[in-house]
Amino acid sequence: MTIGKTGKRIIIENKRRAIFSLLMLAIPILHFLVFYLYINLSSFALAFKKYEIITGVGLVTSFAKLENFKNALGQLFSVNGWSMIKNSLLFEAINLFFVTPLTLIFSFYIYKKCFMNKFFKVMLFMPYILSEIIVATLYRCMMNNVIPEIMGRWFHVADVTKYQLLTEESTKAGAAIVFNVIMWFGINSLIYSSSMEDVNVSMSEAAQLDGANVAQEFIYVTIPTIFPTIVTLFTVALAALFTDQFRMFSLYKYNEVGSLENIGHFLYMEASRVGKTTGGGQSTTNNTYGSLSAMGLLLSFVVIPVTLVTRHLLNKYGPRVD
Amino acid sequence: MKRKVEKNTVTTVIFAIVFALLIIYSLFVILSLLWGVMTSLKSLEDINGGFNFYTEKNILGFPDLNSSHVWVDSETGEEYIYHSRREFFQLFNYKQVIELFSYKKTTSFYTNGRLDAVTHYQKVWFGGLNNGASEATFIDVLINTLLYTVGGATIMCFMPALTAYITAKYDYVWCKALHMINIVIMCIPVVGRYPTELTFLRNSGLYDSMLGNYVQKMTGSGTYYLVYYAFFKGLSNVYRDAASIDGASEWTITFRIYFPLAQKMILTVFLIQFVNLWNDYQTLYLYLPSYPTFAYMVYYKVIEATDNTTFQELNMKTAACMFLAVPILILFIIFKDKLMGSISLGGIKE
Repeated sequence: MTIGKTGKRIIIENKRRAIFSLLMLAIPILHFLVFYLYINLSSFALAFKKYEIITGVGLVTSFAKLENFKNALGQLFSVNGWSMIKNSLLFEAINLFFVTPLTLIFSFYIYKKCFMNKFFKVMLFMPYILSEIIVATLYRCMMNNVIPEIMGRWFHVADVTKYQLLTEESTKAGAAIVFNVIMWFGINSLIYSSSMEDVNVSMSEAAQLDGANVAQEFIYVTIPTIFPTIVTLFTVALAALFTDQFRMFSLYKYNEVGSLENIGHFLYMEASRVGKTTGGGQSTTNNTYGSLSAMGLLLSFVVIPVTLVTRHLLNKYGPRVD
Repeated sequence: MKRKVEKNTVTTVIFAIVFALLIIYSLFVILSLLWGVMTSLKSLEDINGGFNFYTEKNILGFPDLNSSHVWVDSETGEEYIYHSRREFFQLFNYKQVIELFSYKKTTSFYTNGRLDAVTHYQKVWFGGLNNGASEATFIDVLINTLLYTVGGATIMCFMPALTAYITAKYDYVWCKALHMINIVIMCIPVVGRYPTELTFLRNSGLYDSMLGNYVQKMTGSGTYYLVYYAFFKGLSNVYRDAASIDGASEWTITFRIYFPLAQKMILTVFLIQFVNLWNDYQTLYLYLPSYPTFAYMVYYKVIEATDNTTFQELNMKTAACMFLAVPILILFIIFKDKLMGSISLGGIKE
């Protein structure tokens, strides 16, 4: 009798646990269904829809066949489109192949607790802790006001306007890249130095006893140990190839980006304008929800396999601890 | 012996180069900030070199505090002040920032099933009209900032914790499935979901509303989910079993036993999210244009707005930036170790 009661109690408790877990997960599950599944599936549907704002009628939708894709492809393969793709690739390449190694070296310096490591740690963290708009505004002032002033006063340059590095066409790309580099260093160096603390001390000591110098210790002991972290950050950055605006939003007004326009910034700005109207009832952009969705889908088809294959290759052929 | 000397030389050279690079980087960051503080304490006349008949600007120098740098027009008796004493000692530019942080913006958009466009105006919390007639003032911006940062950070630290706890401690199919989903969606990059998200939010009435923004933030996934998951998975089930024998309900076990064990971690995530949201302005630009926060106001005044010239001046630009930076720097000084020492790939380390 007692055993029967216990069994019944267990069943009731199990039911309670199941109901409780379902109730607690209701919001996250619903959120996933709506904001991930529905939104992403809707992107497919939206890419085949034509949206038109007709005065007096409102927003009218109809089946667009492949019109949105044609429109998106037309934009991507236009002169501007190529330029945007090229910029995204350039900035991302600098991030992956220049900033990442340098960040790893900085992190190693901090991890080895070299001279002034705590101070550098704070400095690297500073651009991250402050809002991007603060750092960007100060940087813009430095590039467009302080440097021309220095050139004029200290080097007696007559026409200082060409030293407005973020405005001048020939220097704006370089100045924007430097700003991105400054911002990229921050958080990643802290993540790397933190994961370097997991390196087995005896391995480092053994390498040093075997006569390895600091570069060899870095390459043969530290990098293989933290390689999973490197792979993760590398693929996260790669995945953001066409969504990262490379901070154009903070550096320039929308119509001042010009030759530095990239895909991420273009999609963001167009999305912020699509479906909105001016005072006269006109749409604020030539793009529609449909064409932007189609463009997003086309770019996802490129980015998803590239990211997954890169991750797979890095995991397969990257250095290992053993 | 020779080999050891060579090894030490290589090590020294490598670290010296890295040190030099880090010094350059640090100097740039420090000088930018110091220049920003200094410029925010100058008057426009001082910056433009008014006392030197506008021949030499004072962009690089310290604020001019010489009280004799005043010119009185002998004919009209009018006094022209060229020093920065008021800006320096009374923080005049900062007061100006507070005074001029007013906001007026109309957002019109179409939604399904409506003939005409829906129009939203800047949110005015107290004593004003919400039909666009009254400007949002500093108080409104302050309220928006608190709602956005504190409310948002609370949701963003709690939801992943709750999801992680349930998926880590309960063995049901849906728990395992959600855990898998949370991992998979982090690996799949999706480009261009803004249009669909905006369409959905506009059609459902969640666009440009604080409630809608909270709903958007209620995700249980993300990096912090993984951190919490690892934490809860590592906690022993003994607490649960003991409490269960004593007749504790699931609610009690969750919120009075396990969550207090994770409170340090939850607090750290809250701090990190608070800082992120305090600094965020891009989400507001896209989803909450009628609820400006301080960060958004800095963006709006310094970059977006075309109708104001005050914030195009160096002293006001930098004052606005410093105004935004000061609270977060204070927070950083207090919680430096918590914010910095705890950063890892998962987001935080205990």
